[in-house]
Amino acid sequence: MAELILLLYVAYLVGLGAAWLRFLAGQPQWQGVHLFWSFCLGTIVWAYTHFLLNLFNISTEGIRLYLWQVMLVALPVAGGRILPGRRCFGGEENGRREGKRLNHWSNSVAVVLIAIAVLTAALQALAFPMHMWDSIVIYGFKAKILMHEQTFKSPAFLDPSVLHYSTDYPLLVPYVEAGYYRWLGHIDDRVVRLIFLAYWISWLGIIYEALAARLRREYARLWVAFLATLPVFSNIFMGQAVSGFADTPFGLYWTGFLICGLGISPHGFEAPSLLTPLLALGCAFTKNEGIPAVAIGWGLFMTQASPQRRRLWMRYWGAAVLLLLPWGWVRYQLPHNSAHQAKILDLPIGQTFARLKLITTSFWEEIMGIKRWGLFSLLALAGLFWPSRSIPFPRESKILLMAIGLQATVYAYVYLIYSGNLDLLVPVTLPRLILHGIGPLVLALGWRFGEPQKL
Amino acid sequence: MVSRHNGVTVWIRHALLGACVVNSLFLIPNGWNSVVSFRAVQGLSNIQRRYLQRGETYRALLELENHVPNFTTVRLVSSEPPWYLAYFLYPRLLKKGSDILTDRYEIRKRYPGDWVLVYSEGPHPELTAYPPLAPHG
Repeated sequence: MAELILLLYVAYLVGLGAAWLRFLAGQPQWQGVHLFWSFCLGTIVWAYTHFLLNLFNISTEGIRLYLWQVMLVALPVAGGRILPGRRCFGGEENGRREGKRLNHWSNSVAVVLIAIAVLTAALQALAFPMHMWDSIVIYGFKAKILMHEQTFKSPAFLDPSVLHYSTDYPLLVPYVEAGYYRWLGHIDDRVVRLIFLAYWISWLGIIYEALAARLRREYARLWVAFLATLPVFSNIFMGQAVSGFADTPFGLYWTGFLICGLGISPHGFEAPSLLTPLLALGCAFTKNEGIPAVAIGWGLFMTQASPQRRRLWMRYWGAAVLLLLPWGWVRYQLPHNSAHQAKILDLPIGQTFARLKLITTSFWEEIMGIKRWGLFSLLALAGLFWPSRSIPFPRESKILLMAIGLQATVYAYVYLIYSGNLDLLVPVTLPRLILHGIGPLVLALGWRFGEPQKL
Repeated sequence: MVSRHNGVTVWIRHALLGACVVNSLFLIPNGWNSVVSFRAVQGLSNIQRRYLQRGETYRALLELENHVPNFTTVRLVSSEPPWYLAYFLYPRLLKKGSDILTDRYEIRKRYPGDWVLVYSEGPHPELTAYPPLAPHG
């Protein structure tokens, strides 16, 4: 029964996202790619709306919850009728081209491997409840409170004497989990893991579609098979696809933000850059890392854009800041009690070098670890250092690589100024931080090396 | 452009397939284990599954949950707060009491309407819940 309710809940989120996608994109046809994007948008719209309702003390008790949920779907549908010719996405070329199908046995291998990876994640989710640190201590606990109290305005959040770890951590994932618990009527921290499966599949789905917008589908499928089968996703570890950590959801929003910002249009909708404010909201409302990430992304898009386009980016940036202001204000009000709160340290130069050495060696050891990352690092190194005279980097790949590099620099800087014991922090955070970058890296390499679609 | 890519795309396809084979060396055992675990715990309640996961620690937590009523405030006396306790005990609200285990009686007097929970790990593990001295405050 709990599984059925979860399926209905995920279907609702997809429907909600689809309604908004259709309203913004003005596309009448439903296509497969919309499933992944719809889930992505649906989770953001639902979680942030619930947060805003709580902020303005608007009750979501009992039947009101469902009325709000229906209204959220009805709003864009009605908007689409009132503004029939509306096409908010404008001016970007749809990059989809159909190429000749390549019937190679590797295609079947890729499909089988993806199926095994998805089945493994589903069975892992259904076997045991969430149990790893962040999944219960940070997100799971908040979700429980949001289920019982139906608002963050409760002593469990506001009273600093309550033992609530990282009280001020972004609330998107807890709101999505709590939404399911409220549909179900009780807490089920085992079946809720299937939401993370939906996140993971959506992440793989949008990467596949972004690759397939430029490459033959068979190559795109092979890249995704490689990504989906990485041991890190099936090991019982914090990087597990269904661990209940927010890194997979963040990976989805962040990768989606970059894809839309680059104007890579999978078939079905045009000019996706209008989605960037919403996806930026998703990033920043999921993890604190989201704020520097989207700032980097937008900075890069602005520097690469024409003056006219730059004004458009400024407008999107403004929209995202406006959307984020309520959360920023609430976050400021909540107690700040994370043990990992970064404080600026005035380190002597010698210690700074020692820390830098620790960060780089830990990163190297982590990424070269075959048990978590397979041959990812070898492929990435080969892909990055392949002579660009023979195969140049496409413009989009260059932007993605710059984004990954700047993001890594920010993470390294936070490690440098971290006031606690870095030896303890690095092993428990580094694998997850790497996860944030692998989606964009696969896109950058895939676009460079895959066989392009034939015109 | 396509011709320039031809040789490399063949190479990259083989490299990707090789990398997928390496990944499968980990995925297939993990997949098999997930089938075995899934079948082994089929029909169990979430509490039983949690017990299998966490062992005796969870049994102690369950006893605590049965003992301390919902929607009460629990003052924690522990040298290092075990954060996961807050998750399992909710909707009982876990609040800071003291870092010093011997303060338990002092905390009970200071907060007579609250439960007091003493938690310690190490050589002498302890998980004791004291009822409120004055239940109605």
